[in-house]
Amino acid sequence: MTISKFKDLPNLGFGIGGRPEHFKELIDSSPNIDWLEVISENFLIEGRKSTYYLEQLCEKYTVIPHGVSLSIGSTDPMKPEYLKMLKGLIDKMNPPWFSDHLCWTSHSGHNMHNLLPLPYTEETAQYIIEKIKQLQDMMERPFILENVSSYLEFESSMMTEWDFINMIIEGADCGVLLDVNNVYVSSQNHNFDPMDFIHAMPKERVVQYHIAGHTHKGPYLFDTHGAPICDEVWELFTKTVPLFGDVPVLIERDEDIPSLDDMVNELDYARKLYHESKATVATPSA
Amino acid sequence: MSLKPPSPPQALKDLQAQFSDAIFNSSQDTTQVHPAANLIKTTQSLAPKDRLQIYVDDYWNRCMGSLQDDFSTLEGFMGEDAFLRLIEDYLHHHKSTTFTLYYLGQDLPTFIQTTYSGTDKKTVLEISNYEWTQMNVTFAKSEPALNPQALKDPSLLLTEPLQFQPHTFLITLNVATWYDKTADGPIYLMLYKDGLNGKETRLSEMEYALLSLLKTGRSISASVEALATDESNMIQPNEIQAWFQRAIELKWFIEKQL
Repeated sequence: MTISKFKDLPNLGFGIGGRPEHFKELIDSSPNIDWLEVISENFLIEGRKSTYYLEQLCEKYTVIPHGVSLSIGSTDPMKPEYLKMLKGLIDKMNPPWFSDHLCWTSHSGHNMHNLLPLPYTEETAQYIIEKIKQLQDMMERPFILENVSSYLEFESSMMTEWDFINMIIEGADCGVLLDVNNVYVSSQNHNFDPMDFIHAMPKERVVQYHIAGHTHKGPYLFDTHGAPICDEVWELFTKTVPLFGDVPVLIERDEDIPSLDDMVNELDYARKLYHESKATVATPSA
Repeated sequence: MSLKPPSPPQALKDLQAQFSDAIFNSSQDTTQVHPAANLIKTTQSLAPKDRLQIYVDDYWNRCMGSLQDDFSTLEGFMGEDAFLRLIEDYLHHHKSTTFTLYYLGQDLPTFIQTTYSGTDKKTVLEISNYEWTQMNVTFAKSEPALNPQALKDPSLLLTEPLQFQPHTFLITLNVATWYDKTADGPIYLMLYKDGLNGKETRLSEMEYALLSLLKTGRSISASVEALATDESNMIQPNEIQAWFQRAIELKWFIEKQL
Protein backbone atom coordinates (compact mmCIF):
# COMPACT_ATOMS: atom_id res chain seq x y z
CA MET A 1 0.00 0.00 0.00
CA THR A 2 1.48 3.35 -1.13
CA ILE A 3 -0.15 6.29 0.54
CA SER A 4 2.67 8.78 1.00
CA LYS A 5 1.68 10.67 -2.13
CA PHE A 6 -1.60 11.62 -0.47
CA LYS A 7 -0.05 12.65 2.84
CA ASP A 8 2.20 15.06 0.99
CA LEU A 9 -0.56 16.82 -0.93
CA PRO A 10 -1.11 20.45 0.03
CA ASN A 11 -4.02 21.65 2.13
CA LEU A 12 -5.55 24.14 -0.27
CA GLY A 13 -7.96 25.62 2.27
CA PHE A 14 -11.47 26.69 1.28
CA GLY A 15 -12.58 26.92 -2.33
CA ILE A 16 -15.55 27.05 -4.65
CA GLY A 17 -16.46 25.39 -7.90
CA GLY A 18 -15.38 27.94 -10.50
CA ARG A 19 -18.21 28.55 -12.97
CA PRO A 20 -18.13 30.74 -16.10
CA GLU A 21 -20.59 33.20 -14.51
CA HIS A 22 -17.91 34.14 -11.98
CA PHE A 23 -14.66 33.85 -13.97
CA LYS A 24 -14.19 37.54 -14.73
CA GLU A 25 -15.02 38.61 -11.18
CA LEU A 26 -12.72 35.95 -9.76
CA ILE A 27 -9.89 37.37 -11.87
CA ASP A 28 -10.64 41.06 -11.36
CA SER A 29 -11.38 41.03 -7.62
CA SER A 30 -9.86 39.36 -4.59
CA PRO A 31 -12.61 37.38 -2.88
CA ASN A 32 -11.87 35.37 0.23
CA ILE A 33 -11.44 32.15 -1.76
CA ASP A 34 -8.30 30.03 -1.45
CA TRP A 35 -8.68 27.79 -4.49
CA LEU A 36 -10.96 26.74 -7.31
CA GLU A 37 -12.16 23.55 -8.86
CA VAL A 38 -13.36 23.62 -12.47
CA ILE A 39 -15.17 21.11 -14.67
CA SER A 40 -12.40 19.66 -16.85
CA GLU A 41 -14.63 19.10 -19.87
CA ASN A 42 -15.47 22.82 -20.08
CA PHE A 43 -11.81 23.49 -20.87
CA LEU A 44 -11.27 20.83 -23.48
CA ILE A 45 -12.78 22.88 -26.33
CA GLU A 46 -10.29 25.51 -27.35
CA GLY A 47 -12.63 28.25 -28.51
CA ARG A 48 -14.94 28.31 -25.48
CA LYS A 49 -15.04 31.31 -23.18
CA SER A 50 -13.90 29.15 -20.27
CA THR A 51 -10.64 28.31 -22.03
CA TYR A 52 -9.90 32.00 -22.51
CA TYR A 53 -9.96 32.59 -18.74
CA LEU A 54 -8.03 29.47 -17.72
CA GLU A 55 -4.55 30.94 -17.76
CA GLN A 56 -5.54 33.96 -15.68
CA LEU A 57 -7.43 31.79 -13.19
CA CYS A 58 -4.42 29.50 -12.81
CA GLU A 59 -2.12 32.47 -12.26
CA LYS A 60 -4.24 33.70 -9.36
CA TYR A 61 -5.54 30.48 -7.78
CA THR A 62 -4.68 26.83 -7.47
CA VAL A 63 -7.20 25.28 -9.84
CA ILE A 64 -8.13 21.60 -9.71
CA PRO A 65 -9.60 19.90 -12.80
CA HIS A 66 -12.69 17.92 -11.84
CA GLY A 67 -14.12 15.68 -14.55
CA VAL A 68 -17.62 14.42 -15.21
CA SER A 69 -17.08 12.28 -18.32
CA LEU A 70 -14.18 9.95 -17.59
CA SER A 71 -16.71 7.14 -17.12
CA ILE A 72 -14.24 5.04 -15.18
CA GLY A 73 -16.91 2.43 -14.38
CA SER A 74 -18.10 2.00 -17.95
CA THR A 75 -17.44 -1.26 -19.76
CA ASP A 76 -16.31 0.95 -22.66
CA PRO A 77 -12.56 1.48 -22.72
CA MET A 78 -11.43 4.98 -21.81
CA LYS A 79 -11.37 7.10 -24.98
CA PRO A 80 -7.79 7.86 -26.09
CA GLU A 81 -8.79 11.20 -27.60
CA TYR A 82 -10.43 12.30 -24.35
CA LEU A 83 -7.44 11.14 -22.30
CA LYS A 84 -5.06 13.00 -24.57
CA MET A 85 -7.04 16.23 -24.15
CA LEU A 86 -7.29 15.70 -20.39
CA LYS A 87 -3.55 15.10 -20.17
CA GLY A 88 -2.95 18.31 -22.13
CA LEU A 89 -5.19 20.24 -19.75
CA ILE A 90 -3.58 18.76 -16.65
CA ASP A 91 -0.09 19.51 -17.93
CA LYS A 92 -1.16 23.09 -18.66
CA MET A 93 -2.81 23.61 -15.26
CA ASN A 94 -0.21 21.72 -13.22
CA PRO A 95 -2.62 20.88 -10.35
CA PRO A 96 -1.56 18.82 -7.32
CA TRP A 97 -4.27 16.27 -8.22
CA PHE A 98 -7.22 15.71 -10.53
CA SER A 99 -10.57 14.08 -9.90
CA ASP A 100 -13.65 12.43 -11.36
CA HIS A 101 -16.54 10.29 -10.16
CA LEU A 102 -16.95 6.63 -9.26
CA CYS A 103 -19.66 5.92 -11.79
CA TRP A 104 -20.28 5.26 -15.47
CA THR A 105 -21.56 7.82 -17.95
CA SER A 106 -21.31 6.09 -21.32
CA HIS A 107 -22.12 2.84 -23.05
CA SER A 108 -21.18 1.57 -26.51
CA GLY A 109 -19.71 4.96 -27.34
CA HIS A 110 -22.84 6.86 -26.37
CA ASN A 111 -22.68 9.36 -23.54
CA MET A 112 -25.56 9.69 -21.08
CA HIS A 113 -24.19 12.82 -19.37
CA ASN A 114 -25.31 11.41 -16.07
CA LEU A 115 -23.38 9.92 -13.14
CA LEU A 116 -24.78 6.39 -13.12
CA PRO A 117 -24.35 4.02 -10.16
CA LEU A 118 -22.43 0.75 -10.24
CA PRO A 119 -23.11 -2.69 -8.80
CA TYR A 120 -20.93 -3.10 -5.73
CA THR A 121 -19.16 -6.35 -6.62
CA GLU A 122 -15.58 -7.48 -6.31
CA GLU A 123 -15.20 -8.12 -10.03
CA THR A 124 -16.46 -4.61 -10.84
CA ALA A 125 -14.03 -3.17 -8.30
CA GLN A 126 -11.11 -5.13 -9.82
CA TYR A 127 -12.00 -3.91 -13.29
CA ILE A 128 -12.09 -0.27 -12.14
CA ILE A 129 -8.84 -0.69 -10.21
CA GLU A 130 -7.05 -1.67 -13.43
CA LYS A 131 -8.50 1.30 -15.27
CA ILE A 132 -7.46 3.76 -12.55
CA LYS A 133 -3.92 2.35 -12.48
CA GLN A 134 -3.64 2.99 -16.21
CA LEU A 135 -5.16 6.44 -15.81
CA GLN A 136 -2.73 7.51 -13.09
CA ASP A 137 0.22 6.22 -15.13
CA MET A 138 -0.93 8.25 -18.12
CA MET A 139 -1.65 11.45 -16.25
CA GLU A 140 1.43 11.26 -13.99
CA ARG A 141 -0.61 12.92 -11.25
CA PRO A 142 -2.51 11.66 -8.19
CA PHE A 143 -6.13 10.86 -8.97
CA ILE A 144 -8.96 11.17 -6.46
CA LEU A 145 -12.33 9.54 -6.83
CA GLU A 146 -15.63 11.08 -5.75
CA ASN A 147 -18.58 9.17 -4.33
CA VAL A 148 -21.78 9.99 -6.25
CA SER A 149 -25.37 10.50 -5.13
CA SER A 150 -27.55 7.61 -6.21
CA TYR A 151 -31.25 6.87 -6.50
CA LEU A 152 -31.07 3.11 -6.80
CA GLU A 153 -29.02 0.10 -5.75
CA PHE A 154 -28.52 -3.00 -7.83
CA GLU A 155 -29.71 -6.44 -6.78
CA SER A 156 -26.31 -7.81 -7.77
CA SER A 157 -24.41 -5.67 -5.22
CA MET A 158 -22.52 -7.83 -2.74
CA MET A 159 -21.20 -5.14 -0.41
CA THR A 160 -21.88 -1.62 0.84
CA GLU A 161 -20.91 1.41 -1.18
CA TRP A 162 -18.21 2.32 1.35
CA ASP A 163 -16.66 -1.16 1.20
CA PHE A 164 -16.71 -0.91 -2.59
CA ILE A 165 -14.96 2.48 -2.49
CA ASN A 166 -12.37 1.21 -0.03
CA MET A 167 -11.62 -1.82 -2.16
CA ILE A 168 -11.04 0.39 -5.21
CA ILE A 169 -8.96 3.14 -3.63
CA GLU A 170 -6.71 0.63 -1.85
CA GLY A 171 -6.32 -1.53 -4.95
CA ALA A 172 -5.71 1.38 -7.30
CA ASP A 173 -3.76 3.47 -4.79
CA CYS A 174 -5.82 6.58 -5.38
CA GLY A 175 -7.42 9.16 -3.11
CA VAL A 176 -10.97 9.99 -2.11
CA LEU A 177 -12.93 13.12 -2.86
CA LEU A 178 -15.46 12.78 -0.06
CA ASP A 179 -18.67 14.48 -1.12
CA VAL A 180 -20.53 14.96 2.14
CA ASN A 181 -23.73 16.02 0.39
CA ASN A 182 -23.66 12.91 -1.79
CA VAL A 183 -23.24 10.73 1.29
CA TYR A 184 -26.25 12.42 2.85
CA VAL A 185 -28.40 12.18 -0.29
CA SER A 186 -27.60 8.48 -0.79
CA SER A 187 -28.12 7.73 2.91
CA GLN A 188 -31.63 9.15 2.73
CA ASN A 189 -32.40 7.43 -0.58
CA HIS A 190 -31.12 4.05 0.61
CA ASN A 191 -31.88 4.26 4.29
CA PHE A 192 -28.43 3.95 5.86
CA ASP A 193 -26.65 5.95 8.56
CA PRO A 194 -24.38 8.46 6.78
CA MET A 195 -21.87 8.20 9.61
CA ASP A 196 -21.35 4.51 8.77
CA PHE A 197 -20.12 5.70 5.38
CA ILE A 198 -17.99 8.54 6.79
CA HIS A 199 -16.37 6.37 9.48
CA ALA A 200 -15.41 3.80 6.85
CA MET A 201 -13.38 6.26 4.77
CA PRO A 202 -9.62 5.80 5.31
CA LYS A 203 -8.22 8.85 7.06
CA GLU A 204 -5.01 8.93 5.05
CA ARG A 205 -6.72 8.86 1.65
CA VAL A 206 -9.37 11.57 1.99
CA VAL A 207 -7.83 14.39 -0.04
CA GLN A 208 -10.73 16.76 -0.53
CA TYR A 209 -14.31 17.47 0.62
CA HIS A 210 -17.25 18.58 -1.44
CA ILE A 211 -20.30 20.16 0.14
CA ALA A 212 -23.34 21.23 -1.84
CA GLY A 213 -27.11 21.55 -1.86
CA HIS A 214 -29.74 19.13 -3.09
CA THR A 215 -33.47 19.10 -3.83
CA HIS A 216 -36.35 17.28 -2.14
CA LYS A 217 -38.37 15.33 -4.69
CA GLY A 218 -40.97 13.79 -2.42
CA PRO A 219 -39.92 10.19 -1.84
CA TYR A 220 -36.27 10.84 -2.62
CA LEU A 221 -33.53 13.50 -2.57
CA PHE A 222 -32.04 14.65 -5.86
CA ASP A 223 -28.48 15.91 -6.18
CA THR A 224 -29.02 19.13 -8.12
CA HIS A 225 -26.26 21.32 -6.69
CA GLY A 226 -28.90 23.96 -7.18
CA ALA A 227 -29.68 25.10 -3.65
CA PRO A 228 -27.87 26.40 -0.57
CA ILE A 229 -26.39 23.72 1.68
CA CYS A 230 -29.08 22.49 4.08
CA ASP A 231 -28.78 22.12 7.86
CA GLU A 232 -28.55 18.32 7.69
CA VAL A 233 -25.52 18.47 5.37
CA TRP A 234 -23.87 21.16 7.51
CA GLU A 235 -24.39 18.92 10.54
CA LEU A 236 -22.88 15.93 8.75
CA PHE A 237 -19.98 18.13 7.65
CA THR A 238 -19.23 19.19 11.25
CA LYS A 239 -19.28 15.53 12.32
CA THR A 240 -16.99 14.57 9.44
CA VAL A 241 -14.28 17.22 9.76
CA PRO A 242 -12.87 16.09 13.15
CA LEU A 243 -12.42 12.53 11.88
CA PHE A 244 -9.87 13.43 9.23
CA GLY A 245 -6.74 15.57 8.94
CA ASP A 246 -6.51 19.00 7.34
CA VAL A 247 -8.58 18.42 4.25
CA PRO A 248 -9.41 21.13 1.67
CA VAL A 249 -13.09 22.06 1.45
CA LEU A 250 -14.96 22.99 -1.70
CA ILE A 251 -18.52 24.27 -2.19
CA GLU A 252 -20.17 23.25 -5.45
CA ARG A 253 -23.04 24.98 -7.22
CA ASP A 254 -24.19 24.00 -10.72
CA GLU A 255 -27.74 25.32 -11.04
CA ASP A 256 -29.32 28.62 -10.02
CA ILE A 257 -25.80 29.97 -9.59
CA PRO A 258 -25.84 32.76 -6.98
CA SER A 259 -23.67 35.86 -6.93
CA LEU A 260 -20.01 35.43 -6.05
CA ASP A 261 -20.68 37.34 -2.81
CA ASP A 262 -23.29 34.75 -1.81
CA MET A 263 -20.88 31.94 -2.63
CA VAL A 264 -18.18 33.60 -0.52
CA ASN A 265 -20.64 34.01 2.38
CA GLU A 266 -21.48 30.31 2.23
CA LEU A 267 -17.77 29.50 2.09
CA ASP A 268 -17.12 31.74 5.12
CA TYR A 269 -19.74 29.73 6.98
CA ALA A 270 -18.03 26.48 5.97
CA ARG A 271 -14.70 27.88 7.15
CA LYS A 272 -16.21 28.85 10.53
CA LEU A 273 -17.84 25.44 11.03
CA TYR A 274 -14.68 23.64 9.98
CA HIS A 275 -12.50 25.46 12.50
CA GLU A 276 -15.10 25.16 15.27
CA SER A 277 -15.38 21.42 14.63
CA LYS A 278 -11.62 20.97 14.75
CA ALA A 279 -11.36 23.09 17.91
CA THR A 280 -14.05 21.06 19.67
CA VAL A 281 -12.01 17.92 19.19
CA ALA A 282 -8.71 19.57 20.05
CA THR A 283 -10.08 20.87 23.39
CA PRO A 284 -11.00 17.97 25.69
CA SER A 285 -14.15 18.64 27.70
CA ALA A 286 -13.82 19.02 31.47
CA MET B 1 -1.59 6.08 -24.13
CA SER B 2 -1.75 2.77 -25.95
CA LEU B 3 -2.08 0.40 -23.00
CA LYS B 4 -4.37 -2.58 -23.50
CA PRO B 5 -7.66 -1.80 -21.75
CA PRO B 6 -8.71 -4.29 -19.06
CA SER B 7 -11.56 -6.65 -19.92
CA PRO B 8 -14.83 -5.75 -18.22
CA PRO B 9 -16.72 -8.48 -16.35
CA GLN B 10 -19.58 -10.00 -18.33
CA ALA B 11 -22.12 -9.29 -15.56
CA LEU B 12 -21.23 -5.59 -15.67
CA LYS B 13 -21.48 -5.56 -19.46
CA ASP B 14 -24.93 -7.11 -19.32
CA LEU B 15 -26.10 -4.72 -16.60
CA GLN B 16 -24.89 -1.63 -18.41
CA ALA B 17 -26.32 -2.79 -21.74
CA GLN B 18 -29.74 -3.28 -20.19
CA PHE B 19 -29.64 -0.10 -18.13
CA SER B 20 -28.50 2.11 -21.01
CA ASP B 21 -31.18 0.58 -23.23
CA ALA B 22 -33.74 1.64 -20.62
CA ILE B 23 -32.37 5.18 -20.60
CA PHE B 24 -32.06 5.61 -24.35
CA ASN B 25 -35.27 3.87 -25.35
CA SER B 26 -37.76 4.35 -22.51
CA SER B 27 -38.12 8.09 -22.96
CA GLN B 28 -40.69 9.56 -20.59
CA ASP B 29 -43.37 6.98 -21.28
CA THR B 30 -44.00 5.52 -17.82
CA THR B 31 -46.66 3.03 -18.87
CA GLN B 32 -44.14 0.34 -19.85
CA VAL B 33 -41.78 -1.23 -17.31
CA HIS B 34 -38.37 -1.83 -18.85
CA PRO B 35 -36.72 -5.18 -17.95
CA ALA B 36 -33.82 -3.18 -16.43
CA ALA B 37 -36.11 -2.54 -13.46
CA ASN B 38 -35.45 -6.17 -12.48
CA LEU B 39 -31.82 -5.25 -11.83
CA ILE B 40 -32.81 -2.81 -9.10
CA LYS B 41 -33.32 -3.52 -5.42
CA THR B 42 -36.86 -3.25 -4.16
CA THR B 43 -37.42 -0.84 -1.28
CA GLN B 44 -40.43 0.45 0.62
CA SER B 45 -40.10 4.07 -0.47
CA LEU B 46 -39.91 3.62 -4.25
CA ALA B 47 -40.54 0.80 -6.68
CA PRO B 48 -37.62 -0.25 -8.94
CA LYS B 49 -39.39 1.12 -12.01
CA ASP B 50 -39.72 4.51 -10.32
CA ARG B 51 -36.04 4.52 -9.36
CA LEU B 52 -35.13 3.65 -12.94
CA GLN B 53 -37.39 6.43 -14.19
CA ILE B 54 -35.39 9.02 -12.20
CA TYR B 55 -32.38 8.27 -14.41
CA VAL B 56 -34.46 8.08 -17.59
CA ASP B 57 -36.04 11.47 -16.89
CA ASP B 58 -32.72 13.00 -15.95
CA TYR B 59 -31.15 11.92 -19.24
CA TRP B 60 -34.01 13.14 -21.41
CA ASN B 61 -34.49 16.40 -19.53
CA ARG B 62 -30.78 17.16 -19.69
CA CYS B 63 -30.42 16.39 -23.41
CA MET B 64 -33.65 18.04 -24.49
CA GLY B 65 -32.91 21.06 -22.31
CA SER B 66 -29.51 21.38 -23.93
CA LEU B 67 -31.02 21.30 -27.43
CA GLN B 68 -33.69 23.80 -26.38
CA ASP B 69 -30.89 26.16 -25.32
CA ASP B 70 -28.94 25.62 -28.54
CA PHE B 71 -31.92 25.89 -30.92
CA SER B 72 -34.10 28.46 -29.18
CA THR B 73 -34.99 30.30 -32.42
CA LEU B 74 -36.12 27.05 -34.00
CA GLU B 75 -38.25 26.25 -30.95
CA GLY B 76 -39.76 29.74 -31.14
CA PHE B 77 -40.61 29.22 -34.81
CA MET B 78 -42.01 25.67 -34.50
CA GLY B 79 -43.69 26.02 -31.12
CA GLU B 80 -42.67 24.04 -28.04
CA ASP B 81 -44.70 20.86 -28.69
CA ALA B 82 -43.59 20.39 -32.29
CA PHE B 83 -39.99 21.20 -31.41
CA LEU B 84 -39.92 18.73 -28.51
CA ARG B 85 -41.36 15.99 -30.75
CA LEU B 86 -38.66 16.73 -33.33
CA ILE B 87 -35.75 16.62 -30.90
CA GLU B 88 -37.03 13.54 -29.07
CA ASP B 89 -37.13 11.76 -32.42
CA TYR B 90 -33.70 13.19 -33.22
CA LEU B 91 -32.22 11.95 -29.94
CA HIS B 92 -33.52 8.45 -30.61
CA HIS B 93 -31.45 8.48 -33.81
CA HIS B 94 -28.49 10.60 -32.71
CA LYS B 95 -27.21 9.89 -29.22
CA SER B 96 -24.41 11.95 -27.78
CA THR B 97 -21.02 10.54 -28.74
CA THR B 98 -18.74 13.04 -27.02
CA PHE B 99 -17.82 14.11 -23.50
CA THR B 100 -19.80 17.33 -23.83
CA LEU B 101 -23.37 18.29 -24.64
CA TYR B 102 -22.13 21.13 -26.85
CA TYR B 103 -22.03 18.84 -29.87
CA LEU B 104 -25.39 17.19 -29.25
CA GLY B 105 -27.11 19.17 -32.00
CA GLN B 106 -24.45 18.72 -34.67
CA ASP B 107 -26.56 16.31 -36.73
CA LEU B 108 -29.89 18.11 -36.33
CA PRO B 109 -29.76 19.97 -39.68
CA THR B 110 -28.96 16.72 -41.52
CA PHE B 111 -31.70 14.93 -39.59
CA ILE B 112 -34.21 17.59 -40.62
CA GLN B 113 -32.99 17.43 -44.20
CA THR B 114 -33.50 13.67 -44.39
CA THR B 115 -36.56 13.03 -42.21
CA TYR B 116 -38.65 16.16 -41.70
CA SER B 117 -41.73 16.35 -43.89
CA GLY B 118 -43.55 19.48 -42.69
CA THR B 119 -44.59 22.14 -45.21
CA ASP B 120 -42.25 24.53 -43.41
CA LYS B 121 -39.25 22.26 -44.01
CA LYS B 122 -37.16 24.90 -45.83
CA THR B 123 -37.51 27.34 -42.94
CA VAL B 124 -36.95 24.69 -40.24
CA LEU B 125 -33.82 23.50 -42.02
CA GLU B 126 -32.53 27.02 -42.54
CA ILE B 127 -33.00 27.99 -38.89
CA SER B 128 -31.34 24.80 -37.68
CA ASN B 129 -28.36 25.46 -39.96
CA TYR B 130 -28.16 29.04 -38.76
CA GLU B 131 -28.24 28.09 -35.07
CA TRP B 132 -25.75 25.26 -35.49
CA THR B 133 -23.42 27.72 -37.26
CA GLN B 134 -23.77 30.05 -34.27
CA MET B 135 -22.65 27.15 -32.05
CA ASN B 136 -19.67 26.52 -34.32
CA VAL B 137 -18.61 30.14 -33.95
CA THR B 138 -18.39 29.75 -30.17
CA PHE B 139 -16.33 26.52 -30.44
CA ALA B 140 -13.81 27.96 -32.87
CA LYS B 141 -10.64 29.59 -31.64
CA SER B 142 -9.27 33.01 -32.55
CA GLU B 143 -5.86 33.42 -34.13
CA PRO B 144 -3.86 36.67 -34.11
CA ALA B 145 -5.59 39.00 -36.57
CA LEU B 146 -4.15 40.48 -39.75
CA ASN B 147 -2.81 44.01 -39.34
CA PRO B 148 -2.10 45.47 -42.82
CA GLN B 149 -0.03 48.28 -41.32
CA ALA B 150 2.42 45.75 -39.92
CA LEU B 151 3.04 44.17 -43.32
CA LYS B 152 6.34 44.72 -45.11
CA ASP B 153 4.62 44.91 -48.49
CA PRO B 154 0.87 45.66 -48.19
CA SER B 155 0.43 45.56 -51.96
CA LEU B 156 0.86 41.77 -51.79
CA LEU B 157 -2.55 41.61 -50.08
CA LEU B 158 -4.11 41.93 -53.51
CA THR B 159 -2.30 38.98 -55.02
CA GLU B 160 -1.69 36.60 -52.08
CA PRO B 161 -4.45 34.34 -50.66
CA LEU B 162 -5.80 35.47 -47.29
CA GLN B 163 -6.57 33.10 -44.49
CA PHE B 164 -9.82 33.52 -42.54
CA GLN B 165 -10.21 33.12 -38.78
CA PRO B 166 -11.56 29.65 -37.85
CA HIS B 167 -14.57 31.38 -36.28
CA THR B 168 -15.81 33.02 -39.52
CA PHE B 169 -18.77 31.40 -41.28
CA LEU B 170 -20.58 32.71 -44.37
CA ILE B 171 -24.21 31.68 -44.70
CA THR B 172 -27.12 32.52 -46.97
CA LEU B 173 -30.68 32.67 -45.68
CA ASN B 174 -32.95 31.96 -48.63
CA VAL B 175 -36.28 31.91 -46.77
CA ALA B 176 -35.08 34.82 -44.65
CA THR B 177 -38.46 36.20 -43.46
CA TRP B 178 -38.09 34.28 -40.20
CA TYR B 179 -34.93 36.37 -39.69
CA ASP B 180 -36.23 39.69 -41.00
CA LYS B 181 -39.92 40.11 -41.74
CA THR B 182 -39.16 42.78 -44.31
CA ALA B 183 -36.77 40.58 -46.30
CA ASP B 184 -37.73 40.39 -49.99
CA GLY B 185 -34.87 38.15 -51.06
CA PRO B 186 -31.97 36.16 -49.65
CA ILE B 187 -30.00 37.51 -46.70
CA TYR B 188 -26.23 37.08 -46.68
CA LEU B 189 -24.44 36.85 -43.35
CA MET B 190 -20.99 36.55 -41.90
CA LEU B 191 -21.05 34.90 -38.45
CA TYR B 192 -17.89 35.48 -36.45
CA LYS B 193 -16.48 35.99 -32.99
CA ASP B 194 -15.83 39.41 -31.51
CA GLY B 195 -13.63 38.86 -28.48
CA LEU B 196 -15.44 36.09 -26.62
CA ASN B 197 -18.88 36.68 -28.11
CA GLY B 198 -20.55 35.46 -31.28
CA LYS B 199 -21.60 38.23 -33.69
CA GLU B 200 -23.05 38.47 -37.18
CA THR B 201 -23.03 41.04 -39.95
CA ARG B 202 -25.26 41.35 -43.01
CA LEU B 203 -23.42 41.47 -46.31
CA SER B 204 -24.39 42.58 -49.79
CA GLU B 205 -24.73 39.82 -52.36
CA MET B 206 -21.52 40.89 -54.08
CA GLU B 207 -19.55 41.19 -50.84
CA TYR B 208 -20.75 37.71 -49.87
CA ALA B 209 -19.68 36.36 -53.26
CA LEU B 210 -16.27 37.96 -52.96
CA LEU B 211 -15.69 36.67 -49.43
CA SER B 212 -16.83 33.20 -50.50
CA LEU B 213 -14.19 33.19 -53.23
CA LEU B 214 -11.55 34.44 -50.81
CA LYS B 215 -12.49 31.59 -48.49
CA THR B 216 -11.66 29.12 -51.23
CA GLY B 217 -8.06 30.38 -51.15
CA ARG B 218 -8.11 32.85 -54.05
CA SER B 219 -6.45 36.26 -53.75
CA ILE B 220 -8.47 39.48 -53.88
CA SER B 221 -7.37 40.12 -57.45
CA ALA B 222 -8.28 36.61 -58.57
CA SER B 223 -11.64 36.78 -56.78
CA VAL B 224 -12.57 40.12 -58.34
CA GLU B 225 -11.57 38.78 -61.73
CA ALA B 226 -13.67 35.66 -61.25
CA LEU B 227 -16.69 37.74 -60.31
CA ALA B 228 -16.39 40.18 -63.17
CA THR B 229 -17.80 37.79 -65.76
CA ASP B 230 -20.37 40.29 -66.95
CA GLU B 231 -20.95 43.99 -66.63
CA SER B 232 -23.54 43.68 -63.88
CA ASN B 233 -20.90 42.11 -61.66
CA MET B 234 -18.36 44.87 -62.06
CA ILE B 235 -17.18 45.90 -58.62
CA GLN B 236 -15.97 49.40 -57.97
CA PRO B 237 -12.54 49.70 -56.31
CA ASN B 238 -13.98 51.89 -53.54
CA GLU B 239 -16.50 49.11 -52.70
CA ILE B 240 -13.74 46.53 -52.43
CA GLN B 241 -11.74 48.89 -50.25
CA ALA B 242 -14.72 49.47 -47.94
CA TRP B 243 -15.46 45.73 -47.61
CA PHE B 244 -11.83 44.93 -47.00
CA GLN B 245 -11.58 47.70 -44.43
CA ARG B 246 -14.56 46.26 -42.55
CA ALA B 247 -13.17 42.72 -42.68
CA ILE B 248 -9.89 43.99 -41.24
CA GLU B 249 -11.62 45.95 -38.49
CA LEU B 250 -13.74 42.95 -37.52
CA LYS B 251 -10.61 40.76 -37.51
CA TRP B 252 -11.85 38.17 -39.99
CA PHE B 253 -8.37 37.47 -41.39
CA ILE B 254 -5.42 35.79 -39.71
CA GLU B 255 -2.04 37.48 -39.30
CA LYS B 256 0.19 36.85 -42.30
CA GLN B 257 3.85 37.32 -43.11
CA LEU B 258 4.03 39.26 -46.40
